[in-house]
Amino acid sequence: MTGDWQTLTSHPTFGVVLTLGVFVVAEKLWRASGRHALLTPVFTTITVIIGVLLLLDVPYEDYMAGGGYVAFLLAPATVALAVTIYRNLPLVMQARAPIVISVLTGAGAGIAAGFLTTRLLGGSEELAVAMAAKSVTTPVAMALTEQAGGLPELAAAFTIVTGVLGAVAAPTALHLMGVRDRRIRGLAMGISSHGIGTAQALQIDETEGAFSALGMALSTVAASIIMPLFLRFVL
Amino acid sequence: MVLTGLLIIGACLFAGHLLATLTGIPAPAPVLGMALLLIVLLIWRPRPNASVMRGADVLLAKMAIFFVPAGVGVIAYSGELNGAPLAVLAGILLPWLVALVVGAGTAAGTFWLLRRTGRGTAPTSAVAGDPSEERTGPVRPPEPVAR
Repeated sequence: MTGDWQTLTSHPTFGVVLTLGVFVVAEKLWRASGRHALLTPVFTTITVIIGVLLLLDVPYEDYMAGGGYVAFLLAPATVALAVTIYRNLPLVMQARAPIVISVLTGAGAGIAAGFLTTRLLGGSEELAVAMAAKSVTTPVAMALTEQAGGLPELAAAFTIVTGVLGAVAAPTALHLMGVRDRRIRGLAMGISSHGIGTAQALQIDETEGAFSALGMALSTVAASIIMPLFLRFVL
Repeated sequence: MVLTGLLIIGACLFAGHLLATLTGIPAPAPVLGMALLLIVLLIWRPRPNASVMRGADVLLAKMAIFFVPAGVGVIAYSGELNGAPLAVLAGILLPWLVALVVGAGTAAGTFWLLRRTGRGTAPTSAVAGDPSEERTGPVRPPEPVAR
């Protein structure tokens, strides 16, 4: 009996159906709740699936037999974000200056904050550099799923947590800050919360999604320039 | 045809991998692929109902779901975080908040400056998260150039 059950849950269908099924319900719930932040589908889906895996005593590797197929689609979906940017091209072209300035300052401040927070909490200089580097790799989170199935490194895990945090809390935080402009909201989400924030922004509004995709992609470029300069300055 | 669109997107992703391998650019292949597809779109100027647009819509409609397996994986290994929960939490929360606030603040400031100097445009505003709000349609791309 146990053997039969194991065969079932280690079949790729289990991971695929579980992921799709929970997400569909989670999204209906989110919409029915009037898009309550705490019911953000990506957050509730992850939580419920972890619960199901623990309850049924299914190892993560078994889940990933199917989950890997779902995760793979992240790479082409990231490429497809170019279409969203293209659709919003007139707005993007008008906003060139704000986009560049916001990405440079936002990514730079994120790197500095990662370094200083770790130092203030008593972390070593090496750890602080790693935390600053983590802010660099944060927008690069999507690349992580290319190796999905393998044990994610700790820094990569932080990246995912940051993204989920962004999907749940960024819209509310921006609302509290009085930011109503779709372009600014998108940029801030992309810079701070990378792909997961962008996917959430896309659910809310296409313009917000386009600016988030831009913020995310440009932060990657900006961070690779800022990081060496910053380290030369502080070390 | 949606399949043609998916093919174009897949080809750009592969080209992104190729570019990353050949040049050693530190950006991830999907981001390079995104840049390549944008270049293709700017040259090609496809119509709103072109295959590549419909293929992209298939992938983007529920993009968040593709992050779920990675998210499940994080918690599966969260035992390693037990050592320093506060430091880890602060190390994640603070840089995130700083990037969000600074990014939004400087963008808003620059938009304001542009408006002041008469080169700006009206804000694309709407109250977010309001369920009664009708979703505003996507801004249409520029008219396709005659071919």
